[in-house]
Amino acid sequence: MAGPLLDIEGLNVDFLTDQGWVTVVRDVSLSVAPGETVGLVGESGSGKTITSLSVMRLVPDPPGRITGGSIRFDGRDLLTLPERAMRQVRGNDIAMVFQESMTSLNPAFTIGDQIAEAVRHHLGLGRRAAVDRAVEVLDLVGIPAPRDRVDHYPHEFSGGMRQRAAIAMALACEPRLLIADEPTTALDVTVQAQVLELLRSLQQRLGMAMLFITHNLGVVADVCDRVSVMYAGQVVEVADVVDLFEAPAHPYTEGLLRSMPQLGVRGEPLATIPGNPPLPWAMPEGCRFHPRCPYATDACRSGAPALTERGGGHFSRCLRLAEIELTGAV
Amino acid sequence: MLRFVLQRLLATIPLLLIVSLLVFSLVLLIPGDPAFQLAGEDATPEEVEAIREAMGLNDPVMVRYVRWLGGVVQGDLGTSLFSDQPVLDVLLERLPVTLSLAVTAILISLAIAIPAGIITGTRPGSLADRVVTVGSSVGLAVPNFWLGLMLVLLLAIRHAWFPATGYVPISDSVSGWWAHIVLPAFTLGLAAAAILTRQLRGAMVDVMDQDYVRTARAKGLPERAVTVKHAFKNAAIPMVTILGVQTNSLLGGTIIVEQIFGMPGIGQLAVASVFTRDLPMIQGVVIMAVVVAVLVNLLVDVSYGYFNPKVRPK
Ligand SMILES: Nc1ncnc2c1ncn2[C@@H]1O[C@H](COP(=O)(O)OP(=O)(O)OP(=O)(O)O)[C@@H](O)[C@H]1O
Ligand SMILES: [Mg+2]
Repeated sequence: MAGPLLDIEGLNVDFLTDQGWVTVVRDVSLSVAPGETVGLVGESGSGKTITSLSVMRLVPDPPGRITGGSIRFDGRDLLTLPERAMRQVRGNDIAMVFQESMTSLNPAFTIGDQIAEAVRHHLGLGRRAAVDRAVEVLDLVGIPAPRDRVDHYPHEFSGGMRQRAAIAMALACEPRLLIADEPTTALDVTVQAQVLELLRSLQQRLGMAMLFITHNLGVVADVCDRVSVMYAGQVVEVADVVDLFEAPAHPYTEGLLRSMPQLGVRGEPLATIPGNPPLPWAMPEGCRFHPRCPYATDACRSGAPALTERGGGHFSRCLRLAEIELTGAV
Repeated sequence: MLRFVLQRLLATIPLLLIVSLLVFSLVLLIPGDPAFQLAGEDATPEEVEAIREAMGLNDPVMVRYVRWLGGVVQGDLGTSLFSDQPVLDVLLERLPVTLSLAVTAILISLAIAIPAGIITGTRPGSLADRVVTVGSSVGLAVPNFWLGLMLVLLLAIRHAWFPATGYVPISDSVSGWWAHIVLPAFTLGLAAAAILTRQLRGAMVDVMDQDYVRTARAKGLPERAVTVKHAFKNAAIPMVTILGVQTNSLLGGTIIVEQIFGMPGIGQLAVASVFTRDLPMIQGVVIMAVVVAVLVNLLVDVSYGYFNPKVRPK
């Protein structure tokens, strides 16, 4: 396999909060090969969005700041790129779909305008050709009567159609990497399935790579080749999707698998991970997961584990990796 | 769109009727007797009475109202007691002065507020932001009669860069018109500029935090397109509403500003008519003011639809 398309190494992101500077993303490494779909999973607040915004260099600043690491895209370090060159990457090489299509589309412009704008900017198409391209991508994402729909405003679309339009907007310049940040969370279940199916088939047809962010492991199983699990600003496990489900190598992943409704035993209450994730300014000493971990020992309270490979590209950040037996989902 | 405009105009008819009642009752409320005024100081009571009879002032109030309203609807606003000219003619002659003053004032206030609001709203806390915030406080605090007098003293009398008073129609000379209009328009528009700047700054700060601004950046658009196109069009929605309110109070302000700069507009006419107790003229001025206010509000509603497609009539 060729080198990775996206290669994040040792990324650190700090935020200025009421409690002073806090590190919300710590030493995150992640890679996506060309054409590959990588899932980024974790509870709310674990740093998934900030990690993906770092790739676009769109971390809100102030109050946020990328303080370390490198993000290589196709060999170039995006973090040292001049802003002007970075703008050529955004929307053109790397595009993003956000969680809330209601708020992420501009209510004051038509869908067609918003798609055509990116096309004109990056591909230098004229007004007419850009609108044609908008119609084409709306058609591609399965919006009926795209010729009429280009002139509609976001509020005239249903939630699912809006998210399709947002996907069309991201695809308009044929990016090599699509970052989808919880693209289906705001949709109701049947529509979720349709949009997921759409993303999966588009990814295959267009051969683009995808970084797919979600807190739902079930979705990961459906669309991803590989998975990175984040907890409290760190990556705690990286594995092929089958490995992850069959043989999780981190107690947090095991907890996530147990709390999946799809896998629960009928009649038994759904297991949940006890406690809450730590706040960025009150990170526990040692392993960040130890206060909630059923396997924690004294060693976990003092020693911070490193991300280590267990074999076959399967990494885990757990001191007791060799000692404990974790159960998978299958 | 046309239907929308017509509907709005129809909806104002009850309002106009109420206003007409109020305007008419001005006659009853204002102290002084127009007949007495017209007859002159040395008139005998019999002469005054004859004038009163001739003017129909002795008829029942309802009769006078209906007669008056019938005339108004046909464009007959009566005759000036002071100059004997038809009120409508006088108003139409003076309207361009006031309109060009008000429109220029609004344009000046927008020309200040839009860039200032965008710059400060996208960089809250910056030096530019603090300077503009102080500036807009000053702009709000300065009464416009004082500002007008200072401008006249400094720029017109001391330096003679501008004429101190008067008015030249734009059809006679564009540069002459501009020279006469710029100081009064600035005087009139400054408060509105300050209010609009503050308002736009606040709206921009809010809008810049919205997801769609992030989306626009994620498309790789230059920051200027993000702020001037994506953010501004949304931030302009509340500004349009404020602009409507400001326009109404700015029209009121023309009374003072026309006085200071000696401009022969409606405002000056209003003051003069009150002093001469020229009732038909006062009524005409009020009616004209109300009609203009109604039109301004209509314009605001229509442009609101441009900025906010959600309220656009289907
Ligand atoms: N603007 C901000 N100011 C301060 N802290 C922030 C800001 N944005 C994010 N954070 C912090 O960064 C951490 C990571 O946030 P992030 O949005 O990346 O989480 P997430 O994994 O995407 O969660 P979710 O599933 O809720 O989207 C959180 O602890 C959050 O409090
Ligand atoms: Mg998020």
